[in-house]
Amino acid sequence: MKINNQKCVHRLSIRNLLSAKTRCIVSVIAIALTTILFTSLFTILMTIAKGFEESNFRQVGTYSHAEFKRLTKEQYDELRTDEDIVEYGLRRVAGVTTGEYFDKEYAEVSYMDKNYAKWGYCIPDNGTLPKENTNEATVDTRVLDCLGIEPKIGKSFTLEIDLDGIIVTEDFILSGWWEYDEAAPASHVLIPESRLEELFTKYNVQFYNDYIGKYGLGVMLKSDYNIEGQMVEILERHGFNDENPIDIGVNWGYMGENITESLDFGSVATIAVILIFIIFTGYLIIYNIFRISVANDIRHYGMLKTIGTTQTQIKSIVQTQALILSAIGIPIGLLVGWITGSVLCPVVMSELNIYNSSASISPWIFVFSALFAWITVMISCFRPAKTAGKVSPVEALRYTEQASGFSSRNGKKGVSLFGMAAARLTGSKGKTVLVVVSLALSIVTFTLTFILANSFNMEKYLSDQIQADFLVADSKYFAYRWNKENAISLEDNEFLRYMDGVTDSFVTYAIPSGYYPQAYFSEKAVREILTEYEEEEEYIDSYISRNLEADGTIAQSVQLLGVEDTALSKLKVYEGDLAKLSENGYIAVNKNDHIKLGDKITFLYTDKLEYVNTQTGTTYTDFESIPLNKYEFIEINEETHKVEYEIAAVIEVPYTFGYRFSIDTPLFITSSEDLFAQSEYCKPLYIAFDTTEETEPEMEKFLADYTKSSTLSYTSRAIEEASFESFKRMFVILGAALSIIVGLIGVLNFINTMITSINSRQREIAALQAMGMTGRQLCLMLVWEGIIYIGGSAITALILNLITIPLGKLIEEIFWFCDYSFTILPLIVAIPVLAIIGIIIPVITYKTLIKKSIVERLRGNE
Amino acid sequence: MAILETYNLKKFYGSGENEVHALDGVILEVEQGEFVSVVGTSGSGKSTLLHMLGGLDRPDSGDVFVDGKDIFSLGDEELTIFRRRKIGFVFQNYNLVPSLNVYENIVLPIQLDGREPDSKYIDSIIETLGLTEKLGNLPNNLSGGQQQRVAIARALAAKPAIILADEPTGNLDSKTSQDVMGLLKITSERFAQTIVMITHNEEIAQMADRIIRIEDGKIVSGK
Repeated sequence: MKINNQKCVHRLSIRNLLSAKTRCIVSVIAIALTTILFTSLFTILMTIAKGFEESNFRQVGTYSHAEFKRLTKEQYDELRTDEDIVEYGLRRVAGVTTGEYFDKEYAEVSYMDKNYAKWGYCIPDNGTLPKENTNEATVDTRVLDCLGIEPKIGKSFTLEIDLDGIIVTEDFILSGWWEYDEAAPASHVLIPESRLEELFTKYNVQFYNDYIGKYGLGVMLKSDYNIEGQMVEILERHGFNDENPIDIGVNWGYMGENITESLDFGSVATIAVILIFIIFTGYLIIYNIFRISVANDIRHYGMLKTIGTTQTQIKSIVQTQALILSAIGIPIGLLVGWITGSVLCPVVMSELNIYNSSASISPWIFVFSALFAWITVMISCFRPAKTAGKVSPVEALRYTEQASGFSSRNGKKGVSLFGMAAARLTGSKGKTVLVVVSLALSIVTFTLTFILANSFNMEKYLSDQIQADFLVADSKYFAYRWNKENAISLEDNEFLRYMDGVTDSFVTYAIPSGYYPQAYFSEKAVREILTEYEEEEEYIDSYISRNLEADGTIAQSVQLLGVEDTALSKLKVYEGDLAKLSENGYIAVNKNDHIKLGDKITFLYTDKLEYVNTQTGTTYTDFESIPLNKYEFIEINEETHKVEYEIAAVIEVPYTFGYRFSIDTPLFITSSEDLFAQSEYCKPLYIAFDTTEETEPEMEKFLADYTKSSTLSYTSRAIEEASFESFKRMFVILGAALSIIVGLIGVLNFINTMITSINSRQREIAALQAMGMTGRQLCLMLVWEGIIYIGGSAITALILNLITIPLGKLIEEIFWFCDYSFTILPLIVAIPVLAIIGIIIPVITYKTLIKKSIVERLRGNE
Repeated sequence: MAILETYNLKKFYGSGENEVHALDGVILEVEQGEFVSVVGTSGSGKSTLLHMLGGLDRPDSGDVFVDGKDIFSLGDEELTIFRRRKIGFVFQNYNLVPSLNVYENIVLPIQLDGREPDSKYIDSIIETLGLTEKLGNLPNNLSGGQQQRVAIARALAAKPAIILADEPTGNLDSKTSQDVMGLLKITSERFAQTIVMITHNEEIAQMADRIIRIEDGKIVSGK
């Protein structure tokens, strides 16, 4: 038989809730605070994820899902109407800029419709996209810089354009511009479609290059799941297959590999620990609130049982109350938490090397936060609900919350006010422990934040981050994208080296990517290297069988630095002697598992490298200059020579000393003379120099100015110090935010426990007053209770802090620039604050208590 | 000598048509060592009277003299101190401090006053009330009768001028009620203790030396 009693249960829950307004408010705040913690965390995490995605899109150059490439007008018109395409955008390429202004990096000249431009980050910050049937063009600021024209709408300028092999000179009028993004793959000049057609007609373009003038259809699909599959499906629907192929390009920014790939075990574990910490923090207070309220209402539940309410119904009453309170508390928490999170986001994002996007407002933040908050509430009210359900009607009538622990305590000493307070608290141990731990958590969060921030060692950080007072290089070097185009010039080096105030200086040279020398490793070493980078066994086997030389070795590209004598002292030597590098045939290696001191190793240097387009016969000296469809029809022409080295030293090369990126093989060091002798492709990586102390501020100013007008960039001890301080600040801000919220939870728990416990013994206290306890004595007794809570929390926090001392080593491993140094100073700072709370709360409760007369209180609570 | 005197004690609640005359000009005298019971139906004003006598509530007019002292001339704090020295309470629901053991509960009023308990006297109270075996127990592990005996011991401990008992047997079964009344009677005699007890139970009231009847805030007999 099914009885519909939901309504009745709900009515009981609501009435019961409404009868205790303070409890309602406290529970809602507690649930909201817990939700705030979850929401802030998820907001920050999702914003980081969004930043990663955004960075990827910026590198790809668009956030459209995919593109159908090189379509004819007919194909374009047919495909764009497909029902699976939610939005589409068009791009047609005219050519690339050329001439003296663009000798380093060309810009692509094309027509983009509004959608394509929007997705490709080409919407002008100033002005508009070029209007049809005009001479207008919209460009990025790098194009403006290259041309050396001032950004002003209506300004006319001239461009030299490689129009499918024809070099033409054309005039344009600037209609708008946008800020060039260093991460973008290309620079752009946008022209109207009418101009594009006009150019093709005017110069009788024959379309030798198959990308010129074709239609690129960028699309947004229904979802970013399996984009490639969706694209193929669309093509098949329109009869395009292997015999009738159309190229597609899928935006790898959507491939789901971005954030998940950067989530290593450590990050996942950290997030898990934080989540558990928040659940625990929330549990401490929510459980305590429900426990207390069930204990206070136990007679009520007993009465309900007497009149025939079942165990399940009573449980359901408690859970329904939790549901109602969550329905209010969680949304508040979500809102406040998101605001808190988005305030904290910029602090975190500025420390990460990703695109600094605004706070994410992904629905997942709210789904996950609400879910976790709800789970916390459910866990927290599980036991109280069970207690309420199990209550025996008879016992409920004589239930007072003393029942736990002792049945007797010997002693004829009598008691003091302190003794009464202590007896009271030890009598209800559960409640006391929950409050003490809850308060201790916030103290621990606070002290740990302080201890860690205090342990961050600037010297340790600087010694790794910077090798001299100043370091100047191309800006790409600092963006981890150094290549042969981005070397600081020899002239710059000489100029800086002989500036006033420069004491010591050194230039480090390196062979850029594309010309990396090859080193011959044993099969075993290669296998280990590949395994380390999580290649699959099958791949490794086939790779090795393809590349194995007759002598059993395999060539691998390696990074090689040419170091001047003056810089050798900056390197930490584990074994061997760096002095030997001045002799021929000696080389040093960055500490690794595969190469030992005294090993002989053969290097293969590139003497000449050319890329030949087999269709056109054009020869390109470097990969970057091959326009647009660079991966097709290209053959490599290479001349090489071999050198055998002996490992003279095993050293440690800080990553800020070398390329600042790794290609997963060992890094080698040779003398700059040797590097010059072996490879004509070697380039200066950077110049580093020390100055006299007096000239340092001047030099800082000079370099800021000097690098502003060039592609150069610099870093200095002062900048690194600032970045260290900024990291520390982020840490302190996050720690402080966490401490504050956890602290609020602890204090709320304390307040609630104090108020409910005083309310529940109103009559007991009235009786004490009747028998002659003065207001002062009563107040003092309550204050003692508060102080015991605080004292207990401080001691618990101290113990928890002491436990972290052995973890110092681990902490030093996580934060390599940390010298873990324990201090109880933050605890000492925290105690007076807590003590004030511990005194004020009981005093306030006392004041509210004595508003009711003794007689009223003696009668009440029957 | 009258240890307790009241003059024209009045206490009204509410106003206009709803005005309730809880006490309407009560004049009362209790002699040293007397065991007086005050009886009346619920709402007769007997509890209000007891609260006035104990200085827990202030009258609208009239005076209460305890041991010759006009208690309402005292400030709140002074009155509290006076109360713990001169007045002992026994409540219907015992009102023991649940976190303190029996002994600690008994000596609590003395210690609140900052005095050392007179152990010989306390021991004799404990013995009289049959609590010797229970001194270490916490109140929740005692029966109702035992708890009330602790409450009586607590009221006696400070050697008050007067003990005010508010329905001391209200929560007890009849057998236990008889025991507790017996003990009250014995202590009244043995320690020459003045006791004013309110009750609605005629049978219980009969055990006192004198019965005062109160109706609608006025003493109707036994003055």
